[in-house]
Amino acid sequence: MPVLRGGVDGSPLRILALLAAALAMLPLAGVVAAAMSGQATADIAARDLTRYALSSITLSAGVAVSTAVVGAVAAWLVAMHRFPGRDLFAWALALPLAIPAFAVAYAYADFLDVAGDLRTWTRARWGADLPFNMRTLGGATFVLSCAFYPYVYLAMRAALMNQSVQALEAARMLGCSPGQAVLRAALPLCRPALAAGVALAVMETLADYGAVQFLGVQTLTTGVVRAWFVYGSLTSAAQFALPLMAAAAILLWIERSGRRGRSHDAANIRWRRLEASPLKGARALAASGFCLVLLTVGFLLPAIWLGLAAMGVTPEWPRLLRASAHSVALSSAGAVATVFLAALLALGAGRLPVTARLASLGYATPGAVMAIGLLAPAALFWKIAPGGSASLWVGLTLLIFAYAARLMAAALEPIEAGLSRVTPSMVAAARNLGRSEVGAALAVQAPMARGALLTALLLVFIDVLKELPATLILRPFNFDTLAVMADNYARDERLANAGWPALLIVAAALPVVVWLTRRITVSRPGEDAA
Amino acid sequence: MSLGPADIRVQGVTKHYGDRTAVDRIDLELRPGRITALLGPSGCGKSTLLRLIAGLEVPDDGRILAGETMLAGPATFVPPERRSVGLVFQDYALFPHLDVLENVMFGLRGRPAAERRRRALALLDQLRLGSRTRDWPHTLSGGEQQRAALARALARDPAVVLMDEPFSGLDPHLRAEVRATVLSALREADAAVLIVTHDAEDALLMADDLVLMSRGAVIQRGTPRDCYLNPISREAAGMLGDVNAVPTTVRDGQARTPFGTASAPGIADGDAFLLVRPETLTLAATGVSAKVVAARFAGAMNELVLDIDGLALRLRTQGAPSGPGTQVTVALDVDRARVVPSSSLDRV
Repeated sequence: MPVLRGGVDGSPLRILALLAAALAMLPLAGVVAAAMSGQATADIAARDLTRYALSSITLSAGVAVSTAVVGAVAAWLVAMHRFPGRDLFAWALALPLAIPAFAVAYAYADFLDVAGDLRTWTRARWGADLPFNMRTLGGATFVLSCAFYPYVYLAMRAALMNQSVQALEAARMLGCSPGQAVLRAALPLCRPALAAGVALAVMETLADYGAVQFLGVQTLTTGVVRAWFVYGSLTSAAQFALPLMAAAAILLWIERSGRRGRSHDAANIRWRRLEASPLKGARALAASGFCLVLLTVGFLLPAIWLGLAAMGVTPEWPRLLRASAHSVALSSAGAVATVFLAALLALGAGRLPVTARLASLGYATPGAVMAIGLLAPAALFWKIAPGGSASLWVGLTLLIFAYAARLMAAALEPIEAGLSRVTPSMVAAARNLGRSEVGAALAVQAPMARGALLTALLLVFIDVLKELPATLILRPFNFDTLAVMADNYARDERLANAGWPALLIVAAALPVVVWLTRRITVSRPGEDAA
Repeated sequence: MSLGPADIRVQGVTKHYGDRTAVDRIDLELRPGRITALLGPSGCGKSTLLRLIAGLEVPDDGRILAGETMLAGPATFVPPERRSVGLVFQDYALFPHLDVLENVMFGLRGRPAAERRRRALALLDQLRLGSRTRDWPHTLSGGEQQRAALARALARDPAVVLMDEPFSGLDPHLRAEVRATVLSALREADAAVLIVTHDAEDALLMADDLVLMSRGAVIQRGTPRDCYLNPISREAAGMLGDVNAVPTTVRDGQARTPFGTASAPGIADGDAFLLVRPETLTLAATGVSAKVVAARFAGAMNELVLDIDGLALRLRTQGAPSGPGTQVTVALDVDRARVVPSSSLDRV
């Protein structure tokens, strides 16, 4: 499709998109600049870098395998079968998205604590201790798999549901048994979605700070935060961040390739709904049991355990309320800023595909890395506006900026999908009917994508709510959010107290997650999700 | 009909996409109250020309003028929103988030609300959509969407109305009806109209002026009747309907054919074609003898494929069908056939 030029002197949407992309990429450039700038390698040895990188790799591999298996099996059961509770599990299995990974870590560490009730009871009952220990690499793998399997589950379920029955029927006509048809036609068609879901889970794993730090596992991300807080070395922090950025680029590439494959399928074939096959007897029981165990382990047990623990202490209400207000305000401001920038980028992205992809790099980049990348430019701002309330606002602005750079891609994806409903000729029609380029964007593109804009706002809102490392690094002095407050309590081993802010995060995120997943569940190809 | 000053003049306009020349030095004039049809095969550049006039593309060379105002030319480019051009898109491009009335009022921004409403309702009435003003575009039939899109384009009283393949998305039995409604609305608007189509019937039925386009260039222009009866090349003849091309040789302005000698004024000596429309061949008592190779029943007409000394010709007749293998005699009024050079590189 030939592009529409706004005039001989260039288009305003294009300039705005470039500006938004430049803002999103600024922290990444900051990291590279900081890593190049100094000789401060002395305080953290190359040996440490290797050790941290190895544990990051091991952790990622473990989470990748376990989320792939668990998420794919759950999606396959829910999308293609009928069994008791299926309609509930369809959306409930996404609930772990509402609970921050660090909260899951608190719950399991406490639940399986050496001095905890469970172990005390098993020792008394059987005279032997339970074999597993949460504060290990294996424990961290378990916790992060619980928290992140929904990414695989949602991607795979969408792929299986969007799949036309025609592929399966064609396979049957070509001599496959029902089982073979699934193996040889359905699953290969979903491979891109599996890769995309696993890539997201691994991105989150690499970005996680709160859970691994609490479980005492040293990863590159904890390295970044430690290098800054303990050694005060921006250069070292940036050097830990570089391999994370490289990994982010690779994961983003995998995830994007998967997305391409996925949209391909749904667009080209005449779509007919796949009929779910009913399960009976022991098979139905096994399917329900599997989903129930997954839901319990991933969400119910940690949430209830935190709730019970929190009941045992009286919360510090003033602090808790202040932190709640901060969290909601920051999340809202972060969501608005991110969606605004992502919308600018999406509107100009048709002409700047490479720019949009580059700007999405931030999504795979851990928040800690983003924050480090902003510290150098931040230093400039601090100098301009030293002390007093002005510095509070500068700090908050930087923090919101870090969220926007980090979550740009999360907002970009639904917005681009929403804008894809606007055909080039609709935009041309608006121009022909007297609107400028920006006018057409406001009168046609934005209203048509309003459902997508709302989805993007909510997605970013819950992500900011759960964000910890960037907030830790960039927040103004004494400015606590719920996540920071939980982290502070957890560092002091006051897990019951940490339960309160963690539960408040869950309480705020839960309705949003339920609404979003149910919205995905009801929308199907060829229907309007809005 | 009096020819007033042209509303739109396209002068030597050229547009490239990479190595491909989509529009190659085209001249075109559109006059108020006249409908011009631009006919050509897919990919010949006709839609690009339309987009150039609308301001959705920037020409690489040449000029586009509206009256005395330069719309596009060296160092000048008026953006689409500031041109008095109404465009009806091939896919209609109705805004799905607005109802029919809001779609039509979209282009009337800046006028009082009551006036916008009155104008939009009047147009919708005229296009027989008065009962569907508050419906969503996706609930409309193809013909209704087409008319809504036309109402939206006409609402701003454009000096020029451009229509891109206006009837291509419609069922055949709807086309005639929609065409009549659209034609009367266009006549009422008294704008200069350019219709881009690859359908010969649409072009012949609607156009006052016909322009034939191929590979980015205009190959013939004139009234539909003139273009149909006096094609300047085999390609131009083929665009407007079936044609038999009988190979022949021109010598001294005369071409010898199986049907006798045809005059070929102004055509250079050498290889040429005698272009014969299937309906100008008749089964007669005297004439050239031919063998029927195939016979097809096609409703009002029967189509025969004939073999005359190894030459395959199609003939359409209302007479009784003859089965394959039958010997018949065929007559042709050579004055209704045209001799054209076998290689035509002429530009118009």
